Amino acid sequence: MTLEKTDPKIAETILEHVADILLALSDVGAGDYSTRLETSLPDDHPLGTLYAGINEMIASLQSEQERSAIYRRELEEKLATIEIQRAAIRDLSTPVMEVWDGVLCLPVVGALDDERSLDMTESLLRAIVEKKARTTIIDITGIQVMDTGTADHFLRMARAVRLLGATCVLTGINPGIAQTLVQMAVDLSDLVTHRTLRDALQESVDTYDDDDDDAYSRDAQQRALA
Amino acid sequence: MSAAEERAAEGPMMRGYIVQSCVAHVDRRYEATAKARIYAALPADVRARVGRYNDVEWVPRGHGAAFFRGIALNESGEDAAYRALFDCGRSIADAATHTFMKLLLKIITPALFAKKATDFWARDHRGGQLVADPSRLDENRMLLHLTDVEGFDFMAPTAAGFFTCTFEAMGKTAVDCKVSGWSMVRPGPRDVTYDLSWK
Repeated sequence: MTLEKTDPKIAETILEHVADILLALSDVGAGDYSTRLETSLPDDHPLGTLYAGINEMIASLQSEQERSAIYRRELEEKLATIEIQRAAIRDLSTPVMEVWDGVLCLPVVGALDDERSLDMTESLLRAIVEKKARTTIIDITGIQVMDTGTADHFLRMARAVRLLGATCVLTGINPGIAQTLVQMAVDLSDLVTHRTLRDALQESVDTYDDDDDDAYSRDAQQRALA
Repeated sequence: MSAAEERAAEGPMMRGYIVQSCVAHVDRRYEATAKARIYAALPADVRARVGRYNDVEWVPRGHGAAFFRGIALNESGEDAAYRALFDCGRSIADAATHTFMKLLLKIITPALFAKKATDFWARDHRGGQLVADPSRLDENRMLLHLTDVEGFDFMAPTAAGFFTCTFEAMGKTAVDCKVSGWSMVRPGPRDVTYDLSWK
């Protein structure tokens, strides 16, 4: 239907108002919610009412858009905070402590996935080199459940430690984990195990003392022969 | 400071979609060497923003002019430069006529276009004014006077492409747009006149 049969003056007025409406909608469609229809028509004019309705709709879209922009900003801030916290947790989750001369301890708490396992191995190997460690104790008292994946992570860690000439000792295996590992037929023969961290530390210290005694005896013998 | 004063202090501005359309046009239309030449001619601040222009934001007019200048200087001779800029203007008009504008162009008449020309320009530009002379509409002709656009280099042929594409979208055929007041040696005159005709 066209406006050909309508009075030309009325047709022109209608066309002009429709053009105004489409222009405003075009702005809104492009993302500009600040646009508003302006008219000198009286309030009770049907087109004036239509203009008012459209302006209300645009205003409502504008406030909705402003709200969602605030939400988006908040979400972005929260994501940034989560990323900072994640980095902090990552650092805290791989603490390597030197508990005796040449003896390092890595207490493991919580779940161990590929990423964390990789971080731990990296920290541990770096610490072995820096501290010239001969023994590393991985204490898993804080781990309640172990699956084949987690066991595999420890085996890999132990192999990497051994490549650097250090010994890897696993401590804190609880009865439940022991049973699971046996049922899963996980081969832990590559790892030295002790019931508690204290036992492992005691053995490391004794071995260190024995090595010192041996060295002392050798020196004494050499002095006597001389 | 009032909003009008703030705008005046900002200097002439244009909508981001115009610059973004230039980017798309250059990427689509030019082969690698020419494209690299056009981009190399852009000021660093414009080059840094390529691909990050928001359609409705206001950006300094110089950003668009930088693209127009790059496109013009890539050609040898005034005629080739005019054609290249005209094509760029068509691309910008094509990008501007999205959903609602398409509907508008379907119903708009040259008489209504003439009436709304000033508003159309003001929607996309801060600075300068477009006024239509509808006195020869019965001959299918319209004069468009663009004033106060001094320094808007290489815009005149681009706007000619824009007007031509717009009139074609209105269903007009054999649209012709003659530009007076512009040349390569005077790329940014104060006033430009367009003589539009169609069937």
